[in-house]
Amino acid sequence: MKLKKIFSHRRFFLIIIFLILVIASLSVGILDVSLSDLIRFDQDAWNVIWISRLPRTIAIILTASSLSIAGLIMQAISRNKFISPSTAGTTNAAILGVLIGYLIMGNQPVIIRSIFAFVFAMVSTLFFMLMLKRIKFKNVIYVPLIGMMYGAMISSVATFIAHRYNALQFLNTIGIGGFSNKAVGSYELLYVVVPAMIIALIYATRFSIVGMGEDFAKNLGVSYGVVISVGLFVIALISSVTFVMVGILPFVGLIVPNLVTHYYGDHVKKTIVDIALFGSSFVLLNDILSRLIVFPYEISISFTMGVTGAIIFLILIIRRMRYEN
Amino acid sequence: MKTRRRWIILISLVLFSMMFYLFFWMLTTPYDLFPSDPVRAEKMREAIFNIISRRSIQMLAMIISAILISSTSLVFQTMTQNRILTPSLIGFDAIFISVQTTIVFFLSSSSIFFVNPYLNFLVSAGLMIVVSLALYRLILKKNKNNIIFLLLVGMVLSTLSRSFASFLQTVMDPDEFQSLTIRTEVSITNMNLSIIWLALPLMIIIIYLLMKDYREYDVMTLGEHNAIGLGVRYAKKMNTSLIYMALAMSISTALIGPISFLGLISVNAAREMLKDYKHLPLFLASSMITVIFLVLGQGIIAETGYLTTVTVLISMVGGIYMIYLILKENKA
Repeated sequence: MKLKKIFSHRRFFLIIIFLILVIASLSVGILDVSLSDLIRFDQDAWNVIWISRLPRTIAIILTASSLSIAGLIMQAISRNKFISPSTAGTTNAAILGVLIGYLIMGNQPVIIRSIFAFVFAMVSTLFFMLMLKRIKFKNVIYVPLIGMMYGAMISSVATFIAHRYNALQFLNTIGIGGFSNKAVGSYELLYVVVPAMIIALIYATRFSIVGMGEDFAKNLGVSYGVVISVGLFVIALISSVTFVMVGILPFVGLIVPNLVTHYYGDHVKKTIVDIALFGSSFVLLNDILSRLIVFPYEISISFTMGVTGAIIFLILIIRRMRYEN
Repeated sequence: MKTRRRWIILISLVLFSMMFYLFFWMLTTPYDLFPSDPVRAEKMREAIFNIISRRSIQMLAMIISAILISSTSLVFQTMTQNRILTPSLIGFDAIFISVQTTIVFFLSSSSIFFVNPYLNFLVSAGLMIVVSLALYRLILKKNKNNIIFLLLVGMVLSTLSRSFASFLQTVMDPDEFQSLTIRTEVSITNMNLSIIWLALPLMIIIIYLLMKDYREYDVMTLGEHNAIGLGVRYAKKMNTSLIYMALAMSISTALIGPISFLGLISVNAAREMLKDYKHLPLFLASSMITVIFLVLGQGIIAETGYLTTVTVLISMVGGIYMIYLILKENKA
C-alpha cells in the first residue's frame, strides 16, 4: 500500500516536471510571445505557437518517448542494459539505407528515405540478434562492444560506397538534423511512431517474458519468434523514422530506460509510461538548453545530449561498479 | 620447419611491400624517367629522388605506427583475456581531437602550443596520459582489474569529448576552424610527418619497455589467479602497460590518425599463422602483418588512383573478420 503510494507520487511528480518543461519549450524562442497576447487572442502570437513552437515541442515528445521505448524493448529482449539502437548498429544501418536510396533514386521525399532506412535497420538488427544468439559467453559489456564494432563496419561500407560514387558530401549530411527546422509541414511523418508505441504497449508484458529466455517464454505460452519479430519491427521503425526526421540523439535509448528501470524495476508494462515521460522531459530540457546557450542562435541538440548524456551515463556506470564491489 | 618457412614468407612480403611502395610508381608513370637530354635528366633525377625520399618518410611513419598498434593490441588482448577487443575502442582519437580543439579555442591557432608540432604533440600526449591515468585510478584501483568497465567508460568519454569538440568547433571563428582541421583531419593519406623524429625514438623506448618482460605476458595468458600464483605482480603490470599503451596510441593517432580494426586483424592473423601463444614471436609477426597491410595497401591504393582509403578498407575487412571470429569461437 505504502509502496504504491510512493509509486504514484513519483509519477505525479514526473508529470508536473514534464508539463513545466512543455510550457518552457513553448515559450522559448526568438519572437516574443507573451501570455497577455495569448489571452487577448492576438492572431500573430497564436500563429507563432501553432506554426512553429507547438510542432517543435510535439516532435521532441514523439522522438524522445519513442526512442526511449525502443531502447527499453531492445534491453528487455536482449537482456542487456547496455544495448540500444545506437550500440547495436541499427543507426549505422539506417545511414547506409538512406545512402543507397539516394544512389538508386536520387533526392527523394522523406517518406521514401525512411522506408530505405527502415528496411536496412530491420535487416541489420535481425542479423545482430542472430549473431548474439550464437555467442555463448554473454558478458554484459562485451555484447555492446561487439555491437559498436559491427556498427563501425557498416559505417565503413557506407563510406566505401559513398567514396566510390562521389556521395561523401551527402553522407556527411545524413543524420544531421535536430529540431530547429520543425514546423507545420515538416514534422508530420513523426506521427508514424505513434502506432509503433501502441504496439509496444500492447506487447509490453510479452517483451518482459521473452527477456526471461526462450524456454521460459515457451513454457508460459508466449510465441518467442513472433514477439521477437514484433519487437525488432518496432525498434527498426522507431529508430529509422526518428533518424531520418531529426538525426542522431545520442544516449536517449540507452540512459533513459536505465535510469527509469533503476527506480521502477524491469517490468516493461509498469515502466513504459514513465519512460516515455522521463525521456521527453530529458530531451525537452536539453533542447531548451541548446536554444539558450548561444541565444539567439542555437547549437545542435546532439552536442548537448552528448555532453549531458555522457555525464549521466558515467555516473550510472560508476555507481554500478561500486555496487558490484 | 614449417614455422621457419612462414617467417621467411612474412619477411619477404614485408620487403616486397616496401619495395612496391617505394619503386612501383616508376613502372606506371606516364613520364619518361630517363630522358636523353642531360638538363632534363638532371631534373628528372632530382624529382625521382624527391619522390622516393618523401615516400620513405611516409613509410617510416607507417612502420612506426604499425609496430605501436600491433604491440598495444597484443598486450591489450592478453590483459582483457579476449581476442576481439582492441585499445582503439577506448577512443583516444576523440580525446586527441578535443585536446586540439580546446587549445585552438582557448589559446588561438597562433599559440605556440598549436604552431610548434613537438610542443603540440607533447601537450596532447601528456593530456591523454593524464586522462588514462585518471581513468585507471578511478576504475582499476577500486574495481580490481575490471578492464571491461574501463573500456565502457572510455567509450562514453569519447562520445563526451567528441560532442564537446563539435560544440567548440561550431562556435569558434571560421578561420581558426580552418587551421584546426590541419591537425584533426590526420589520416593515412594526410599524415602528420612533422613529429616523426620525435615519434621514432619514443616508439623504440615504448616498445623496449613494453616488451622487455614479454615472458610475464606469456604467464598472464594463463589467467589472473594463475599469474599471481606464479609470481607476476598483476595489478602493477596492468597499470604500467596501460600507461605505455596510452602513449603508444597517442603517437600513432597523431601520426596517421585512427585506424580501428587494424590491431584486431593483425594480432589474430599472427595467432592463426604461428599457432603460438608466446608474446615475442606474436609481436614480431603481427607487426610485420600490420606493416604489410598499411604499406602494401597504401601502395596499391595510390596506384589505383585513390579509389578508396586504406582506413575504410581495413574497417571493412576487419569487421567481417571479427564476425567470422565470433561465430567460429562459439562453434567450438
